[in-house]
Amino acid sequence: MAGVAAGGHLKPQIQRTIAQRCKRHEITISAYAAAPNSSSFRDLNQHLHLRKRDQPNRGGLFRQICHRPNRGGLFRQICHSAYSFNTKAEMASKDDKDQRLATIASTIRVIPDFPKPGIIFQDITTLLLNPKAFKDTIDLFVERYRGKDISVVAGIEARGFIFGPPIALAIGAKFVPMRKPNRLPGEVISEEYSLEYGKDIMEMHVGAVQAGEHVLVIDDLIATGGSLCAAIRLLERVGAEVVECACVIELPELKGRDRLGDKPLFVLVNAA
Amino acid sequence: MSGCKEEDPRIQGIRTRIRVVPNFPKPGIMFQDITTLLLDPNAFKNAVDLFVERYKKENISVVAGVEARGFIFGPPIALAIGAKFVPLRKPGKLPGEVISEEYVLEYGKDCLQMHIGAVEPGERALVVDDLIATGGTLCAAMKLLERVGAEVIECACVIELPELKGRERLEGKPLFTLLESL
Repeated sequence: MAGVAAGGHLKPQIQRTIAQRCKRHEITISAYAAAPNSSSFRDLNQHLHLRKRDQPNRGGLFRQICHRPNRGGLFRQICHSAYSFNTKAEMASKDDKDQRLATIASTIRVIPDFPKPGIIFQDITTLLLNPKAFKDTIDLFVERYRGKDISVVAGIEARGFIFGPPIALAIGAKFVPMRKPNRLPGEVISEEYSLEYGKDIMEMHVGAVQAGEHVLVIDDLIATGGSLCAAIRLLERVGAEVVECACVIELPELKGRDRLGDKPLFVLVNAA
Repeated sequence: MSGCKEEDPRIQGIRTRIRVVPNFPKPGIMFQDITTLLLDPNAFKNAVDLFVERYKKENISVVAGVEARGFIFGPPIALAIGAKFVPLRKPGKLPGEVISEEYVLEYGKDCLQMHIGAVEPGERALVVDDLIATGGTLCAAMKLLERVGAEVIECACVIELPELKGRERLEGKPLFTLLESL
């Protein structure tokens, strides 16, 4: 069903009629506000931003799609509405994405008091047991990052190793593991970062990433943002540009997003 | 085994991307570093494809990957063949109920864990790691899966170190590797 933004008053069957006819005439609609008292079809065409695909706005389009006896009523309805109108295809795509996100969220298991009392652990291993949910997770990231000139996906040990490589393979980027100390052989650079109690160290191979490369940093979850921050610093130290951090889950109460400063964060699921 | 089969042409490209780092993690060990393979998207894709082509028609429902480098190769294979991915981890990392399998190292012991309920009896499983050396880790992985009633169809690694005779330690379970290294 074509969508109507808050404030729209078009009846569902009217929306469907418009969507069908637009499809038949190969017209896409992006309609923002219809002037409340439009008195001409031309006016309305402009307001509705009706476009024949690949052609500029043309007068008469609205007349074409409303050439039924009822069109007076239809015209009046649209005039008196302010709405954002998506074609059926666009709405279907949004519905599908929401469905995928809902499934993904439902497969994540919450384990209380792990690794210590008081912590509610978000367990993604149950997501991995559902092949469709796992594939949808990867697809949602790939749809966002494909074709964006990202040449490096950096994944944080160890659960970032599960999500990073499939994304890297799909977008044609290299995969760079960001590891705990003494796991990477050969020359590394190290970055210390703070934990709730104490410190930890993250390492990256020297020469894995070149200056100027565009990088996506992946982990399963962002909590305080400490690990992601350390990863960003390592990449920036070798002159790379971190375009975004991406996680399956965010714990917004821990304000990790703020800790990333100017680096954007994209997540699929928010967990309280 | 019959006479030499011709090697798939993609394998040489993979072989040249493996970096050998001497004396890591300790003196005398020649470490086979797969991270340089991951820096070549084409070679990495070829490695995954070689496994996927082998397993996609085998009705495998579980790919079990050994922490941590098995987490890099296992998931892309699982996704491509429509199987679930089950991480096999060091102690204390998996939340909730687990089963544990101890195994012997050169000096001392280690332990591998798997989630209870991740794998059902009768499921056909593939075990993935980057490399097989003595076979101790892969053995422990297989035992975990067999203890819950799964059938391990094969173990799959990018690299084999044949001198360490890991293949024999697998007690008859098939092993498939892309390349051997001395």
